[in-house]
Amino acid sequence: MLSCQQATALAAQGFDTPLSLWQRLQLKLHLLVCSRCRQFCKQLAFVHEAWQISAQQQHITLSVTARARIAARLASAQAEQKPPPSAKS
Amino acid sequence: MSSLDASKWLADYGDTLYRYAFARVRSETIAEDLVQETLLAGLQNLERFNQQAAVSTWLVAILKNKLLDHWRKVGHEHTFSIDSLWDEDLMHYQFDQNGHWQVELIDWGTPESNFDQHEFWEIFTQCQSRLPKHMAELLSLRMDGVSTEECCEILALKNANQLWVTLSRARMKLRQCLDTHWFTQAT
Ligand SMILES: [Zn+2]
Repeated sequence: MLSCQQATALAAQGFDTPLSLWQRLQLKLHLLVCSRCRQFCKQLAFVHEAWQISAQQQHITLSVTARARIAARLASAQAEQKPPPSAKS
Repeated sequence: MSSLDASKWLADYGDTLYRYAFARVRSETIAEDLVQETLLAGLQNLERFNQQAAVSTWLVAILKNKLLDHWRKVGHEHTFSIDSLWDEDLMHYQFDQNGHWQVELIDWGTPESNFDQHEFWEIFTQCQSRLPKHMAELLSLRMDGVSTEECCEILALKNANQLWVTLSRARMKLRQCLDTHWFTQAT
């Protein structure tokens, strides 16, 4: 039987790598009898979901100064790209 | 040709790109630089742009590459000490010598009931920024679906095992931080 410490470690690992059949079985068995680890697993899933949502948050915007700086840099790059007004013969 | 104007890109997609970058690097300066590099690269590679694709999709694809470059650059600067004091503390106070829980777990409620609250995200962001840098980067990479092999390469990790350990600890730390600073405070 896994200890709670081992079970929580496996549960966390399960988010990033597929567990072996044996590991999954052991974890399932533990979760069946341990309510605290069940709760812990739910909390890990919560954290995972929150992280994904936080990556798409809408209220963050470019500052006015950054926008102006980038615009200036782009304008100069675009000017360099354009062929010179008087084409050489 | 005016629709392919870079200043229009900045106006239309600047915030989207910035948001994407900032959520991953957690630094305004770096995120701004990444947006600039992305738009410049877009300008230089205009002929490779497939007209069928949406401009935003194309620019985000460029940004993803710029992000990978960024991680590659900073990844090698990190010194990985995964056995920092913090980790040991965390693991030891939660479990007793036999690996059994020695703390009660708080009921967090449903994700939705928390995600709707603006204050939750403030705490969450603070918790994210408290993570050691390499942990936050690694989690971001994995959430973006970057393969484990590539993560190891980018962050100069010796083996996949070190990767799992680091990721697990990052998840645990974040859980702990939310538990302490959001759920314990809220109840
Ligand atoms: Zn348990």
